[in-house]
Amino acid sequence: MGDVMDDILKIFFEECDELLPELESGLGELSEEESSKETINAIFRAVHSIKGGAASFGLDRLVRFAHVYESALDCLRSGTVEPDPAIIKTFYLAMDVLSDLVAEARNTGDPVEDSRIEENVHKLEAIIGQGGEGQPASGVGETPVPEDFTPVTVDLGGFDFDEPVEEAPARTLTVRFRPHSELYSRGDDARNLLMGLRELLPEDALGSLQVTCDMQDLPPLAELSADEACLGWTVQLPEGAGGTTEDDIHAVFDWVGDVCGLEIIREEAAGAASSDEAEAAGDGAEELPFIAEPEAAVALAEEGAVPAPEAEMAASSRPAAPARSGRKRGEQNASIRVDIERIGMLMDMVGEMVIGQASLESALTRENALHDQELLKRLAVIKTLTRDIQEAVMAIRAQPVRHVFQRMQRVVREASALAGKDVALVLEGEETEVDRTLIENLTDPLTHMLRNAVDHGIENPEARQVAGKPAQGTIRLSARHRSGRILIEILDDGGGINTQRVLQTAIKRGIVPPGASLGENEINELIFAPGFSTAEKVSDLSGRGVGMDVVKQAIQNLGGRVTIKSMPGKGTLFTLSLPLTLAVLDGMLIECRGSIMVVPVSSVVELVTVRTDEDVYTIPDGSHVVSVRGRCIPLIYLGDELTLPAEPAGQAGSHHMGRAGEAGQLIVLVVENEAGARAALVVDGVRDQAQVVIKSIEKNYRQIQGVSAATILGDGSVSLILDVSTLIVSATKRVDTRALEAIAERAA
Amino acid sequence: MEFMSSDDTKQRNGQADGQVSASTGGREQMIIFTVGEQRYCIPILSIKEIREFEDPTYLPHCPPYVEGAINIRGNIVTVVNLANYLDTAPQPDNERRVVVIIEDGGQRATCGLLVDSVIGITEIALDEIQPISVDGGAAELSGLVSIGECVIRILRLDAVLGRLLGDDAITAAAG
Repeated sequence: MGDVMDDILKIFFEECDELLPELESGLGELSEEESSKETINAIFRAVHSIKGGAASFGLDRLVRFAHVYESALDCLRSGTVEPDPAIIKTFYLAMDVLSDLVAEARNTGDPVEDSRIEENVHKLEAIIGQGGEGQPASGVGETPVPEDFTPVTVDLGGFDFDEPVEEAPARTLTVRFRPHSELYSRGDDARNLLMGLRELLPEDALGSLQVTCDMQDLPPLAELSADEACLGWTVQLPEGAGGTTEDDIHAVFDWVGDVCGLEIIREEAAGAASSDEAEAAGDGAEELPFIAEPEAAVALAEEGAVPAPEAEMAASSRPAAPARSGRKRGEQNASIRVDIERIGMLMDMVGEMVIGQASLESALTRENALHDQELLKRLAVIKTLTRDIQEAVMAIRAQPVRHVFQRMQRVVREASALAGKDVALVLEGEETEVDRTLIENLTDPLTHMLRNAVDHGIENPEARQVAGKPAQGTIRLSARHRSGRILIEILDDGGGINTQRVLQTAIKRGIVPPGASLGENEINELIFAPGFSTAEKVSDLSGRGVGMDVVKQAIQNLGGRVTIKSMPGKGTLFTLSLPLTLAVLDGMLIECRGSIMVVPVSSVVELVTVRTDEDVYTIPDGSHVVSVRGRCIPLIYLGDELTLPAEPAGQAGSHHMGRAGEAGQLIVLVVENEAGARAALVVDGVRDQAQVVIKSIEKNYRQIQGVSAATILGDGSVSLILDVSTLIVSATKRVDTRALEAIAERAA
Repeated sequence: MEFMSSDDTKQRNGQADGQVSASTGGREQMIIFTVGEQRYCIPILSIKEIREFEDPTYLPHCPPYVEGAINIRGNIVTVVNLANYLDTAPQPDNERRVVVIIEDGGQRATCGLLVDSVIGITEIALDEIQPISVDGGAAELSGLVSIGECVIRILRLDAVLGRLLGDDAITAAAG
């Protein structure tokens, strides 16, 4: 049983992981004044669900805090309190406490200090006080006082939950039924009976259907036997209105007559009877020993998604299912939880399918079968399908960056509180979708960069005033797609990078030799040097000198790059450019000394043929540059750069144009990195353009200079994916820029 | 092109470190192969498969003992030229060269060993293994064992993989 409890607890925490961001985004909407009643309800529901779940696990600290939080939110919901910025801030802080308490309960975080809880409780109580007396916490249609426990109406998906039942018909049929365990072992479900009863009523009369679940005989969870039937239902429905008669009801139970207790009562005074029923049901629920508070019972029954029904679902096909599905249908889009490993497996198989399809195509090409129009058409269909499937699988893994971005709100809140600064974080493009592997790996670098922005980027309030800026600093965190990559920008409106101080620090730390003369960009790049930190005093936030180099490393590991742009007095812009996925790449297949290699299409600028005698220049240090339309670009002889073995003379094809190509021409592929630096790769030819599946080399080998990963071509052979950025960097390092300018002048 | 990799189904109980641990009655099944004139062996449990040699893809800047990379059901696997690695001359004009694919249980890394030929399987008693002092420059081997007149060298697979993955990995594995 312990295992089951653990599982349920795990589910609860997983739900908290969903509810907390929901809460956060709701609060975000509130502060943007886009709030509607639904927003407030969503916020309320999130806190309420956490409380309900926590109560059933006896997580007292969490329950108590959530309860106060909920009460405060209720004032908002009832409209007695207006969501002004101060109140929203309080709610934000309280949310942080709440999520810390969840982490505490989960043993993933430090224990939350009592003083902090108390402080926040006071603030929340102040809000409750503001909202006037007599506004105790109340859930969706529920009050916490045990005596007032109301019956639970099960939403069968057909009618509006919130609509009160006002016109009680004169004559009511009360159907009590209690399935025996045999009913379930036959594969039937109480849900079917309930649905059968619902169908007896005409559409417009559905609101008058009342369903109460009788949990009186439900043993404590620990004693719950997997295949015992403990639940009964009481359904009240109007007689006559839609032609419902006792016979109709008997018809519904016709198939289960022998395995289900059934009692039909006809009543004239419906009101009194139903409240009696309710009491009975309520008492039943109250006696459930495993529930800490009656409130929790309400939460359990009402939310449907909190652990008890889960337990039953896990243990057997318990009839709690209808309540759950009813709620789900009403509230959210249909979705399922899938183990990420399964998606990974699917992804891998799709990758193999792409390879298989490509190999089929290359085999057919060899057979010259591609002249067959019919075959060609069918192959095209398969190609399209493969690509679609691949995209669909990618879409499963894609998630909006919202989750990471919203977490950053808290990072900035805490960092600004610690630094004594007032900083607002503005989010843009949270809907931008990226592969989830990327999202998981983005949190740490972003956290660090934002802390840095608060600590170093934004000035003190006094300094801001002197500079004529608003006292509140702003950091803009935005995401957008650009040419197959995702760009994440962090822009603060602080003072920009103090290049002088950065340089001095770097010299002091021995990162650059004294007297070195560096360009502005080079100085800015020093921020990413290991062991660099400009903070004069080591603060909690940053300043341990393990910051930005780790950030850069993390981003590079994801196949991304970081660039800085500093605008003195105006702010600093960090740009992260990342691939959308870590799995597939649009590549150009090039040939060099007999090897096929892949260049990411995103980095290719153009493909040109240049004349060796006119366009290629040798500069004094022995390296070469090529002039392409008046612009001088360092030339990289790819074969030499990658130490590729020379092709056996006999195998060189007629198209082969090597370093000293027969026609006196070179085929060069002009490539560009994120910073805009270019280089020209000398290749023997371009073969094709294809989507390739990225495979790690480093898993079974070390990192290779100039190579980012590998892929498998249609014929099953391994092909290397070039790391254009490092190739460009190594080429531009070799070439003196002044020499380039001189040549450009001469060429012009 | 196989759809499912057999990796998933195969039990990962291979001990690739050559430091043979206790098995049935202190004996270990070994596979014997030749590189040049010498015979070597490795534990059979560390072997995933034996393949025909196919031209691998050249890896830039690679050391002489790295032959290149091949595709094994979607995984990129580096092939080590054992003759170069062990600094011996391979058999000339050998058409029967094969690649022994091994997997290290600890590091979860896979690599291929290019050998001249595979001779067979033998069972050796663990207490018959004569240790080799590492100072003698034989870090590639973990011991010797005599079978009949023949001395067979036991190859240290963790050393092969360590060299492949880079020096950092060696220290990490040693530490």
